[in-house]
Amino acid sequence: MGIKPTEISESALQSSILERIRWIFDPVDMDHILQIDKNLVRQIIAQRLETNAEINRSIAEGSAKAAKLLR
Amino acid sequence: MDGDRLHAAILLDAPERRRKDAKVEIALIGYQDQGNLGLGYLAAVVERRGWAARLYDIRDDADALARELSARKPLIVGFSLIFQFFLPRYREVAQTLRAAGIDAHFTIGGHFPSLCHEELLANFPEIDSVVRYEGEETLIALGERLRCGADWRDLDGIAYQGPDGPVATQARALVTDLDSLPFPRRPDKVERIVGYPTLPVLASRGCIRRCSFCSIHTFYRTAPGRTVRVRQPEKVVEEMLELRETYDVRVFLFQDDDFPLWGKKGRRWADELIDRLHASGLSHDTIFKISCRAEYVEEELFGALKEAGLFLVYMGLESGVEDGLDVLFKQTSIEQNLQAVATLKQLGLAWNYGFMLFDPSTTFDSIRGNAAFLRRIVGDGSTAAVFSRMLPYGGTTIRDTLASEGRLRGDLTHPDYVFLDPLINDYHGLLTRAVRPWIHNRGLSYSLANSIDEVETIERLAPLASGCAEYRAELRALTAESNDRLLRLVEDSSLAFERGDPEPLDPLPIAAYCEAQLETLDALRDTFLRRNMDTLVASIRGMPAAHPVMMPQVH
Repeated sequence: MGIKPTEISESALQSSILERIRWIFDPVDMDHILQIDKNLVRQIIAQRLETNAEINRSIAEGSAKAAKLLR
Repeated sequence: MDGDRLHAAILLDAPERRRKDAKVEIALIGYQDQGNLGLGYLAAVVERRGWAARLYDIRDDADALARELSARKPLIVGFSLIFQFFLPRYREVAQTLRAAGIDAHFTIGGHFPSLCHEELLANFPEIDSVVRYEGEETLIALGERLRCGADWRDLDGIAYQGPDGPVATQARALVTDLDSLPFPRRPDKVERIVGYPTLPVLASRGCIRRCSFCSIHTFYRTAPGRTVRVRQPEKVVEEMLELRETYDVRVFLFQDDDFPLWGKKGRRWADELIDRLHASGLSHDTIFKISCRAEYVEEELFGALKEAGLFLVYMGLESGVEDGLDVLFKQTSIEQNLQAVATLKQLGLAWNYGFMLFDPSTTFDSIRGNAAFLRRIVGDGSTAAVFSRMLPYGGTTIRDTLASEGRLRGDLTHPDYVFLDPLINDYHGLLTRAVRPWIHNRGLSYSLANSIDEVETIERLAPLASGCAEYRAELRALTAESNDRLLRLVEDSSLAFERGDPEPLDPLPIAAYCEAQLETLDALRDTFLRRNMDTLVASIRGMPAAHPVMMPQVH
């Protein structure tokens, strides 16, 4: 259960008014605030090709079903 | 268990069942800023099943988390990972938990694990399973199997490391009716903007577009089911009312992948939402922000949304040159982007945007073309100039393209690429370092943009606040000057760098300028807020305002 503004002290409310909120609207903005560990290595190409293969498998399956229905 | 039967099981609410399951507990760990709606929905379905769900932040102290979970003995520890950047931290936490003897089932979900399960499992041996795509039904199904010691490896929507390599079962269908889900669990502490409690909400899931740099559409398209699902306006408003009542939320942040305003159907949906916001009274004392595509911005609709509480619009404009829009597959035009911005300005709505100054098609000419575009939209200081570099996230088509071109670089957690012109690689590195005083989370541009959002919030929620117009004018002048300086840097340095002169990118004078401007901004902001402190406290505490949030228009 959250604390309602009416339930917090005057000084805490005043502090929250003066405090800056830092909204992140876009994931790409996070690039600037993240500490990135570069230790883990490549394997990137295979990784994306696998997803690609999966999408194509789904398309192939759907297309085959559609073709069967049309025959 | 198939989808329909599982859904029935989730909906079952028998007290006997709850008693029997009293000890089942699921720990959910993720990035908790701005309230993590993904984990919130998972926690809500777990609780509706009659089990206990506990939320933890991935940045919490791992040893303390290990002590907590050693005592609580959850059945499942579920990690929510959206961006692969965080993978090392997740691994570190999981290793600490295992080292502490926690033998719960470790599962992980989110965009990256769903789309790149093989790589994830290969690099994260502490993980027992991956819950792929939307996890609400699969997590409960997993819990049902685990609590009675049954095998879970044949469940839909799962991936795991088999003896002969990674295995992925059939993808589970996406949730058909989002309103069948309970309202998401909320964090104990809500964030605030100038003191007003703020929480994120969702009106829809999915995106119909196929932007090449975005993994969201791949995530939703790879699983069976409708890619985009929209909640009933009635249920959205019901949830907002509950949050208003429980947390005194006054600022709602719609975090939809793409706020559902497209086409005639979207217009009808928006009309109903607007009617319900007025009828519920929410339009009177709450405001909301949306994220949407530029082509949805239309005067009549957004004027009506503003009267219902819309105060801030985020658009992913992404590029100001045709080649950039093409390579990013934005399916939008420069003219549409300009028109959207013009309409928002005309309506007096605050706006922010995403923009990629650098993408795989970048040339020095496109950099200057983008700078010219940014001048057209933010030269007046209506919001701050920001930009970034497109990154090839897991699950994106641009990554495949870059891979096929041999341009992909980086590693699993920090994917990267090289530009076609090798000189741009060097320029990008130097420019990024030089503009950091503007563009980082506490930089000048972000601080200016946040200050503009704040004054918009105050004008809408505390109409008795004084000096708004003057403060807004000062902010606008400061922002216009900052934008001019930043964009001039881009223009001048790109021309100079092409000639082999990196001097304009010297970071020292830039840092000094931004620091001085930040001091000016902080002083202006502080003066304005302190002058209105009593008014704001009264408004936040819900004292009756002298005027409604939107004054009736007199014709």
